[in-house]
Amino acid sequence: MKLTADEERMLAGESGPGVQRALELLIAVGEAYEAEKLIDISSSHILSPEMQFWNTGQLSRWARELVTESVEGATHFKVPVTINPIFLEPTIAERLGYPESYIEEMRQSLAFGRETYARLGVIPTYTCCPFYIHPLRQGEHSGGAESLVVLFNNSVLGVRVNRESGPTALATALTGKTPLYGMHLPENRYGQALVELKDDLEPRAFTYADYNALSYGVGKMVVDKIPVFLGLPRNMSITQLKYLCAPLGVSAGIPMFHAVGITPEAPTAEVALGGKKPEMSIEVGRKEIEQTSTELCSATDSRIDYVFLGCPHVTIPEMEEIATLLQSKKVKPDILLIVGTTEPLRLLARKMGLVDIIENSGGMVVSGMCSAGSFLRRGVPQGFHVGVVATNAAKAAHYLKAGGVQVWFGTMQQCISAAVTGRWEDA
Amino acid sequence: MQSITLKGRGASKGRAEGEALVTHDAISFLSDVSVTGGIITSPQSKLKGQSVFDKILVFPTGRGSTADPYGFYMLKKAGKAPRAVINIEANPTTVAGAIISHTPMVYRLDKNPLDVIDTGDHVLVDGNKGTVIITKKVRHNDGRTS
Repeated sequence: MKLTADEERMLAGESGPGVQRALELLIAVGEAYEAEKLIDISSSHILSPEMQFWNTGQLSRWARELVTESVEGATHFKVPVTINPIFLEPTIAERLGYPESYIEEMRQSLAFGRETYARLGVIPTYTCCPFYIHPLRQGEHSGGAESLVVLFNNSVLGVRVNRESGPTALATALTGKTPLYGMHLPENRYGQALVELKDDLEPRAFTYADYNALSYGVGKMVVDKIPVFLGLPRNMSITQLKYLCAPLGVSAGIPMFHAVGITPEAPTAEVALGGKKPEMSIEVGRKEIEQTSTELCSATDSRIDYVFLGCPHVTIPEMEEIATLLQSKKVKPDILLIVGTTEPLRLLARKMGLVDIIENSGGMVVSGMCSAGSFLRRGVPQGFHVGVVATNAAKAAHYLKAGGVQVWFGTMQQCISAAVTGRWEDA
Repeated sequence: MQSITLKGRGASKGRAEGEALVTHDAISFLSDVSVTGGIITSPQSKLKGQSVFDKILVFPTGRGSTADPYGFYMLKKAGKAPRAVINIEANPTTVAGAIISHTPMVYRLDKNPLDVIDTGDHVLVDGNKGTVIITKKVRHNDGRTS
């Protein structure tokens, strides 16, 4: 691979062993993709193994060792860097009555991570939606991981970014570089599969759950082909779009889709497809959306223990919808209703009185935590009850179901109603 | 004894030698192998229940995404990692995993390693040069004609 003078210096160890290893890693990954060179990026989005995946026990200590080794000698990230949420907020662990020693371990791991990345100048977004805070422009080259961020950036904003792994994401942040392959090259960004909506669907009336089911189901059908959605409303909101993005990240391996009239590179289907014939064509109707919605449920018990909203993190309009649904209602006392978002939006929602409404009804608004409920499939202390979950997020339902957790998937209204009555009711 | 040399590309530096364990399944070090035990857990694998520990692990390519390289690293920390990895094609998550866990890895060899290497062969992997040297296991005549 051809390297520039500054890359040669990093590779020689002039910026310390962490940056040196980061560059070695990017070169090796680039060579696997036949990349001819590295390119400069304008930003990156990282995730933290010790905060997002393993925050207690031996695996957490090893994750911290890895991070310490990876950033050795580095003084500052080379570009603006945002960061993914943490695994479980200690206040939730307290509410669940987890052992103090367990919570203390969590706190240690979180303190390590927060300090480590703060020292390197991270923008402490702790969100899967960094585009709420640090949006990027069409044509910008970015680095990083988290399938939702990659899908939203490529498909909604027209940013150029690949689905990288956790370690390579950190390497891009430390070096300001990424290999030139995949989504960074225009010829790889064209659509490959045409997705048409059948006449029995009325996209303008889609609930968030409908968008989730559409996305999840299409992902399963296209697997690794970039889909081109026809017939979606051109005035789709950011809230609707994040729900169109997130499930594709877990049901398919793709980094991008086109929505005609929405994706900057898709003014028409012909342009989105690069003038070529689609490799496959699929049609989605009411039946397919209902099938996917049923598939996403694994629960048989209608009694609910947890309700998760905010996968991906809720927007302000969503917070308003949740507050309206909860107004003058009470969440059943033994049920945990978690609304997940990022800290700046929580502060705004607090100022707007929305957080008070949710809290007064017995719900919790949590910032900076992954609201996919992942802690229930990985990281519940021994002897603690893994209960029945309700969510309006296909991504959360996917992970929970894969982890053997009983989960109900449905609309936000169904979820709120379940939090109030304690029971899941079919719509 | 006759040895076979294959030339390819090194993804992760270092040299290691040992006994080959060959599988025709794509491997995710997070979901197909227990990260603290090194045991293959994937139900569809013919090698289910076998350990990757101390082996030269030969498989077609990796699978997995964001968090997979961490699985490889955890395996190394647990002292249960393979000594080296040989792939037909490199999945970037395997490359990243091998590098952060300081395990030699080679791929894109001039012959298909799954055709040339059998489980039990002695294999030397040089991640710096991107080479593999195979010494075939001596097969004792068990009295049957082949």
